[in-house]
Amino acid sequence: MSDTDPQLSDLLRRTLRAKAEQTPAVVGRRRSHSPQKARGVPLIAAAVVGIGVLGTVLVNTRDRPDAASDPTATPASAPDPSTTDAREIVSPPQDAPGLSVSPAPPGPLTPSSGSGSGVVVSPTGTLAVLQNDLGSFPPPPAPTESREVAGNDVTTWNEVGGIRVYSFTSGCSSIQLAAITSDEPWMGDMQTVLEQITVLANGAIALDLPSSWASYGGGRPGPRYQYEFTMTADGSPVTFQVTQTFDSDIGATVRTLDAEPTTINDAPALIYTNGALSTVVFEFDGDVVGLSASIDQETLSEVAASLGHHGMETSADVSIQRDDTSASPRCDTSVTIATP
Amino acid sequence: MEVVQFLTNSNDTEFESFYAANIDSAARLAHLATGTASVGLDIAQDAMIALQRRWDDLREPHAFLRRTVLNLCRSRQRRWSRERRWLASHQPDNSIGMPELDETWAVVHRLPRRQREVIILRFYEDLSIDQIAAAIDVPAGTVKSTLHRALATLKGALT
Repeated sequence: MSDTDPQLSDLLRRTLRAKAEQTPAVVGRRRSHSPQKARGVPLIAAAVVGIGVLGTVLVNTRDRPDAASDPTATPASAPDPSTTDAREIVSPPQDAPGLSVSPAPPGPLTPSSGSGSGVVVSPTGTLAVLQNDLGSFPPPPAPTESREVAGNDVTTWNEVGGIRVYSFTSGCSSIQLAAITSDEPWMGDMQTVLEQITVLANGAIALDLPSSWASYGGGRPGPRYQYEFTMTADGSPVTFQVTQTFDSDIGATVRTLDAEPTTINDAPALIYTNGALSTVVFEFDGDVVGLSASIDQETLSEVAASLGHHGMETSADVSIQRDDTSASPRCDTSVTIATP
Repeated sequence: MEVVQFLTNSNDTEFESFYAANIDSAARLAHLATGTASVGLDIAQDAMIALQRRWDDLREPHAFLRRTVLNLCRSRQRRWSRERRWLASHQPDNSIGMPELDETWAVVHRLPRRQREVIILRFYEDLSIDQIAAAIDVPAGTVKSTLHRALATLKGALT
């Protein structure tokens, strides 16, 4: 990506360097002090949660009960306070009519999932979901077909609802690519994506997205915060569920195949309805926010557009351990999408 | 700000060399991220203490230092907004002395935290998108979109 305005780039560089030069020098001001002892802090183990890709699913609401430890996030030592983070929650305006929030903040963060995913959209508008999960998926229904694609032994089949699934393994994880499409097997948009997937070391996958495709990004979702609020919408009290996934792309949190692209305050978003419940998932200041309610999509979008940073925060006592030693994981379920 | 004793009593001359070579740059980064020079010094020292504890385990101490500095800046600013006392306890930062740069700095400082971090890492530290993604532990796509929004805001405010 290039910074397209050279004048602005130059102005920013001069400004930041001039400001930084005002910082007093530190070296030469050292004095002695008693050593500090590290405090013991309880470890937080991250659990792997799996979300089914077939059919329509809600963001982060269908977790497999057989969770296992996430080898990529378990720390080797007590959490270091210098790597912890208290985060600001997106919330409705304080003066929203009939507003009540439950539970009242601050509250706990849910650690990251071990599964990775990505969402891409073809030039013809087909939305495809790519996911990388520890372990294996349920056995596919018959009939299936198999062939080698880009060095991977791929199996494909049809699911109910016109869903075409392609599946292969990385050696330690299972990868699936799914979309609602009428294309014949091994043809069309999904074949194009399959041919651009590379399995990297330790199970990670990378997708070189063809030009004219759009991407909602991908990866493993960050820690998330969930709560509900009730407010008057369309003249009646409506309860909204909020899921804020920190430091993530939309593609890392959504695995819904019939979502439609939209925008919320000019930020990329996906919106879908499952029965009476509508959900919109959108980017907000580096995080992903999911908002669900039993309400029409237009009203839902209006409420989503009113959310912002209105002073709610997570607990400062909750830490999400970050593996800063970058120890090699047993299996890396990350999904990286490179856009042209 | 006092430096912890173990930094000078330690036989780890390699860490001491790293400290001497990088403490000032860490303080400058913290100054830019928080907007306050004195707080930047405190944060840089705290980050070095954390780094020293894990010195033997780190493969990329510069990346760890940068990430720790930014995390501490975020934590400190959260505490300020809750306590609402920092306005009374901190002196306002000095003007750069050039109206164009002061105005630009004011707009940068008003950006949302994540956008401000990305701008600083891109235009002060001159990091690539992938390096920024690693520094603040987010996907590269998130960095791109965050940078795009920040630049759009800056351009709108400064033109």
